[in-house]
Amino acid sequence: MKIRRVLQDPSFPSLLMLILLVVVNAIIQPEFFSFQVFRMNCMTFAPLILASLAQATVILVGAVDLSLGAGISLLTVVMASLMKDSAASIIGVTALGVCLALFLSLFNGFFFGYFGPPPLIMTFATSTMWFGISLLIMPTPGGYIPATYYGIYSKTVGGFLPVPVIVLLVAIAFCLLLGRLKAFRHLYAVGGSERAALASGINVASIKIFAFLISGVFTALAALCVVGQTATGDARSGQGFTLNSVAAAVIGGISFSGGKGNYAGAIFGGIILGLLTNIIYFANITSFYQEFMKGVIIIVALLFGALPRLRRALLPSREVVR
Amino acid sequence: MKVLEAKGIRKTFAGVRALCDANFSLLAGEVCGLVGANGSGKTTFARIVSGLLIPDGGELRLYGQPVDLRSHLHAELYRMAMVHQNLSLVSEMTIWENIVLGREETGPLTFLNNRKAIAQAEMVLDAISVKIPVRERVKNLSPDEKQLVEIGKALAKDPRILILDEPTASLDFQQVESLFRAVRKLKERSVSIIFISHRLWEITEICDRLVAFRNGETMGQLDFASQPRDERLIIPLITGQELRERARKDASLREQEISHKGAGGPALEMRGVSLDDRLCEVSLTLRRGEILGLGGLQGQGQEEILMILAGYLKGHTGEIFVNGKLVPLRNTRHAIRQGIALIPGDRHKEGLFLEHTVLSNLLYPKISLHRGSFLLPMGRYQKLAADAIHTVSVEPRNPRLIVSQLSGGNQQKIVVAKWLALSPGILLMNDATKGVDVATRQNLYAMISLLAENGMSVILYASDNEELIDNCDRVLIVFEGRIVKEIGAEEISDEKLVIFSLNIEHSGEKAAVAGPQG
Amino acid sequence: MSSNTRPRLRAVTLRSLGGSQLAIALAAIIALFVFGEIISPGFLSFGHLMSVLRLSVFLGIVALGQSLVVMAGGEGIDLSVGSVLSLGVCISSSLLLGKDANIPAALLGTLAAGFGIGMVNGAGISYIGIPPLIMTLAMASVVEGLSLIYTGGYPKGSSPPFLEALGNGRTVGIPNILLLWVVIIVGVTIILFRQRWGAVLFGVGANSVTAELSGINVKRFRMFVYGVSGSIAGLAGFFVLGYTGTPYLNLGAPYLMTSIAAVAIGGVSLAGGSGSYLGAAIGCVLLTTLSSILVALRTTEAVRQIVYGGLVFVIVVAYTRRRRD
Repeated sequence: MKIRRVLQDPSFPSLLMLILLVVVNAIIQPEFFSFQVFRMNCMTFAPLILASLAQATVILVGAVDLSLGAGISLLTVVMASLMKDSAASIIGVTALGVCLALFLSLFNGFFFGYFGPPPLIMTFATSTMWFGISLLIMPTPGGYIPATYYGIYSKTVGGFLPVPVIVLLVAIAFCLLLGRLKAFRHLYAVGGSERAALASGINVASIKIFAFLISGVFTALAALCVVGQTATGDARSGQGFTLNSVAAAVIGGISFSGGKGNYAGAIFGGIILGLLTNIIYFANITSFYQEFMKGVIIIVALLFGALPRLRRALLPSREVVR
Repeated sequence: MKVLEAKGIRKTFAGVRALCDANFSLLAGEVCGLVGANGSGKTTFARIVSGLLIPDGGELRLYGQPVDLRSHLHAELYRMAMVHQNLSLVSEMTIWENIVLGREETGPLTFLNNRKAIAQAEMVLDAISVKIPVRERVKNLSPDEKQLVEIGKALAKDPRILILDEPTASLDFQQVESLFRAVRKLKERSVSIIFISHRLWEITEICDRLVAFRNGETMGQLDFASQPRDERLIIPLITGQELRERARKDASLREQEISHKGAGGPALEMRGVSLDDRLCEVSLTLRRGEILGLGGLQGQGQEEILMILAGYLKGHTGEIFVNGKLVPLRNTRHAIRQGIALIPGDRHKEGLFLEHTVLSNLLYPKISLHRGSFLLPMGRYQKLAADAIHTVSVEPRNPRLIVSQLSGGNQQKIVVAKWLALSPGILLMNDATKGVDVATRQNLYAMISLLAENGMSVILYASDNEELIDNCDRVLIVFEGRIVKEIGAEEISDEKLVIFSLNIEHSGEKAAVAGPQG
Repeated sequence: MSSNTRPRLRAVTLRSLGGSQLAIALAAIIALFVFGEIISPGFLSFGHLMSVLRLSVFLGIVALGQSLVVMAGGEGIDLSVGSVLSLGVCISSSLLLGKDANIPAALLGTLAAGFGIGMVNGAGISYIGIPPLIMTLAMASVVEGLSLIYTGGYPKGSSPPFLEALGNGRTVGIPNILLLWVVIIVGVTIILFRQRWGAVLFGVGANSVTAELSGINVKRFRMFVYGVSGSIAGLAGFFVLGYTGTPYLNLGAPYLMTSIAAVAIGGVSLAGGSGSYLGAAIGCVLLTTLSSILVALRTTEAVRQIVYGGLVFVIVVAYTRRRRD
């Protein structure tokens, strides 16, 4: 009975895919299981995994956030413009960055919750705005991030826990905490059927805002990692995260219609995309083909994730719509 | 004690007077029926009483005190709950999550207390004798189970007044019985219930009293304590006139007519049709000009049969013959070209484009089949639409209206007219008169009978046995994907339908098991 | 009740074409032009007006494919139009090589490539059930890669005289491509409101089950709509080449999001089943005018992005708000 529940979990196909990709990656990339490589991978994967968590939250409530990447970029730009060497500055600017991330998300969430515009276009508009603001602050990549800060990101605690992993553990703890919250259950209800949620007395607008707020927390963590990794502010640094976070969430079993899927899937999806990038790189594919292969592989991964639905599509149509 | 009293309720929408003088009262522990044609105002009234709408005038008293309800949540504070059809369940969630949705109990830091929630859900379902495990996901439930969960959800709020709005639409007699068992249990606990339904036999079965609405006002009452439980007393209150008993032709006369027409061979024949685990070796013959009924419990495969014939469901094995010719019925276009038309049961999901005009809806199948001229012949189409509107008497008669603005009954008329406009040789009806009031239903069936006499053949599935009895020449009972019994014209009766639907071998001893007696 | 949700099978009335929303959009365009004249005299001159309108045409053609995809419902969207346009530019120029005689072959090749890509999108969306947003987004990467592979990083060829005349030339002062666009708008509107295909499209977008029961193979139809969108995006690339003369990589990037914004501004509901191409076309003119003003103000790219995004944001929020009232 428990086994059946695991097998039917929406994140299960992505877990299988993940295992498969780990094997492939291990074959292609030398010394995949060495600690050094593991640490490098963690540093690279962490931002994407966190971005997937952010996007997953938004998709669960029935929306999508195309401004995710631009938000991350804006954060890197702001932090790289303000941070100085002192400990106070580092801590202060980091805190400011987190607040900014929350503000950006709340901006999206507020208008989405109370006015209900199509999230696709709304977040496209805000992404353009954030991009513009980033360019205004920092027209070309640069800025300054003290070595103390990015040094932390590449450190290891206790000899076996890289800092990015700790960040991820914090995020996971946050996920577990969320799961026990009443508002989080309501998030699934709003995403699953807004009408049902309304009829049950749920304040749909505030739940939508709540979802974006949670997403902002993950986005903040992602941006902190990006800054730790690149030590620069760059108005374009977040661009790749948008598509990747959406793809990661969907590959991880988060359903686009809302209300279905879980954070485990989002995490698996993020790791999967990270492994895919690795595989493409180490398979020595010429740079021309890399973008192409990436797109193809994402489609294949989506196909894989859609397998249960595919099976139903090839068999006679089950729904007699009720 | 009157738990609820409404006097002179008025409500107008955008120039249309939905209610002009509605009166109603409800006593503690009683089940009071609320009946009326589509557009009579009963739905508006129910929504006002449950707090979903604010009236323009009149007085509403709860437990003797005048109240001014601002929202349905406000109404819940007065321990009043309304149960719609499956409008408040999230299908991905479990039963217990749904039952406590919006009212979850939390411990410190708003952490959910799941154990308590599960216990409460179990208690509530037990109170209405529902045996489904609460950890089951709602998407896996059948329609009647979902309806019972909806009731459970309302019950969890511990109401003293419960409004059931068409709770039995599309439920078969067995499911209705289980619903009634739950209702009786509620009565025992002094819960008062307003029961809205179009199915008059249900009203006479379960209600203590009933109130009838017509044209926005209360037209009359019946108290079954002092009056007989007879549907014929109800109908005049709803329609305002004596029901013209639809002249049903003598069964043997119909038999003769049909055999006469049958000279050219059957209109439709299915041989050994199977569809994965839903249909098994279904074989049937539809004679020309006949109205063939599909009976049985809900979900036994009746819908699948119709959907296969309509070309919508694919992947079946077996053979289908239309007018003696073997046809593969690969898709819906193919079926339509063979002269097969399906009137679906769920008009919102399957039958209409709600935001399009009446004209656009009526002509869509015709347009999709259009061949020849590059541009659509709008002049001819206008005329066709006008004819269709006239034939089924859609009110108002304006083809430019948006369909969502029409009442439910009129919407269904459009769905019917849309398909009749194709002059089909074979008409399939998939519980097509669900949620339609008795007068409209009668008119539709009269029209269909007439067409049948002129050669159209009909396969009719209805979840309501009464419809099958009133309109069919023969009935085939479907059970677990097979045709288990054929009931000929002479012998169609409610008792027979019930017994064979349950697939009980020996009719005599099991007669007591059957629900409502015909 | 806002009238942008009623496609009719009758006389094409102003209401059916988008109604009050379009009136607002038109008013906004006029206001922008007046503003432009104030800050940069000569803005409202006939020549400049025509220039701006000409620029809108390319966006307008891309927006046509986008409109059709959105109208077909199922949360349809085509995020690959930008990269397909870019690919169209590369394929066209490499087949044309500056010669008029090659035009038919180049046109055919571009349309076919766009159509093929669109059909792959459609197949994934209709038959496998991948959400349109993701499928087309992923295909965008694939197509971008294809452009790189096809050109080896250096797009070759150039546009022939006829195409340049079409893209840049004028007849009685009106840009040729603009005249072509007007013809396209009229033609598309006729097809949408008076022809079988258009009526079927609106039905499929409004309720796919009802449409299927009425004899339409919805899956195949939607796949085909994506194919059409792809070929239209390729066609846009073909015309853009005529305008620029020589090919560059990634010419299509700016057209993607603006095409979606134009469609939304034009009153085409993102849920499908309603709207008109005329609305989207007016949306294109509005957005192009806005860009033009921002350029005339000699703003930096940063300011342009902020204003552009801010305006789209305001418009989208305001529209939805009105619809709810």
